[in-house]
Amino acid sequence: MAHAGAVSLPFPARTASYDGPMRLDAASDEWLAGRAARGDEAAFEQLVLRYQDRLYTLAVRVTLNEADARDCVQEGFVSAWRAMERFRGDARFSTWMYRIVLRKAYDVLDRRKRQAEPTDEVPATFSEPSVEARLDIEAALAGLDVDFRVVAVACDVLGMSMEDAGDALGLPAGTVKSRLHRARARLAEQLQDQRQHD
Amino acid sequence: MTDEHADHEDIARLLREQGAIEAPPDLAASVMEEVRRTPRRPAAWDRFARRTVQWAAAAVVVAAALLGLSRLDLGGGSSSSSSVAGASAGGEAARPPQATDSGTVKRSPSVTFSVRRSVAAEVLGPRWSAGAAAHGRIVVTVPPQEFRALARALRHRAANGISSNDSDTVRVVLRRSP
Repeated sequence: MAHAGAVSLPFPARTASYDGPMRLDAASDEWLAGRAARGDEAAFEQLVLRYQDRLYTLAVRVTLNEADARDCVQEGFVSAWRAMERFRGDARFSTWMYRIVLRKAYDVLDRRKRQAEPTDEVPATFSEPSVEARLDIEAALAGLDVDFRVVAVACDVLGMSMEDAGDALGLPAGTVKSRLHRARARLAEQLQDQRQHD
Repeated sequence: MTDEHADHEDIARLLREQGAIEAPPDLAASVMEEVRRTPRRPAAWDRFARRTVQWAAAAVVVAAALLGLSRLDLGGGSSSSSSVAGASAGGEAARPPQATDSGTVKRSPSVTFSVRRSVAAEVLGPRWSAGAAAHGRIVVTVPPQEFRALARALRHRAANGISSNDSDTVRVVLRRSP
């Protein structure tokens, strides 16, 4: 399994490790999406660079598997590229992408249920800020039911508002709020249990 | 309550600080490689194609409407000879010629009118034959150039309010010669 390092949000604009466009990094998502809808690959590439970390985080936290998460993100971006002309700007580009990748992540979970495959664990090799703390929160997060985990990731990890999370997850804001409360309570219990065992 | 709130704030902070995972460094490159391999028609082409199809559809509708109108006019409000003859045989009152679908008119270029004998004689002129109309029906075949004018004249002068057993009424079947 590939190693994945932690980053802090908001993600800084990363320099591409290949020959990518660097002039579009100040453009808005909507402008880039409009260009991409007209076939501008450079604009779409900028959106990929901008959202790959967030989408990957979401996919890993839902599928609990890096390879599946990578596939979800890659397929999600390709699906989005194919469907860019249908993106009318009714929702924000980020929300639209979250929905696409989430759908693919849920498909992965459904396939797993049908095939009853054993899943790989979330990577447990981290360097900072604290191995113990990270292991605690990683394990606690992975132990949550996916319906609660995805809300915690959307609101607390990705920093989305409850309304935006509701849009992305297809849930009313009230449901997001109650699930977030229960997710945090469950995480607190799990962390307390873990520390007591330790 | 305060402890719970503090716990939740702590959880949120932990998730915010440690929950994010950086995408693999080659992910964007592989996404773009896949994107470049994915054929997609330019939106401008799609818009052009959509507009062309819309214009073509509109043109077809207009052409069909014009064609239909021209056929109706050609028939002079005609109905097929068979259907009108059948209806007239029932002795209904003089009926203005009715149009049916253009295909019928084309296949059977004839119209039937119920008019008074005097009117038929006047309109048909030398083609009128009292003997031929003895049974209340006369069939007149005319060349295409006269068909329309005769049909129009008969239609305008078609008798109104004639009962089925009116002996003064005659059914004129006007046929267009090939």
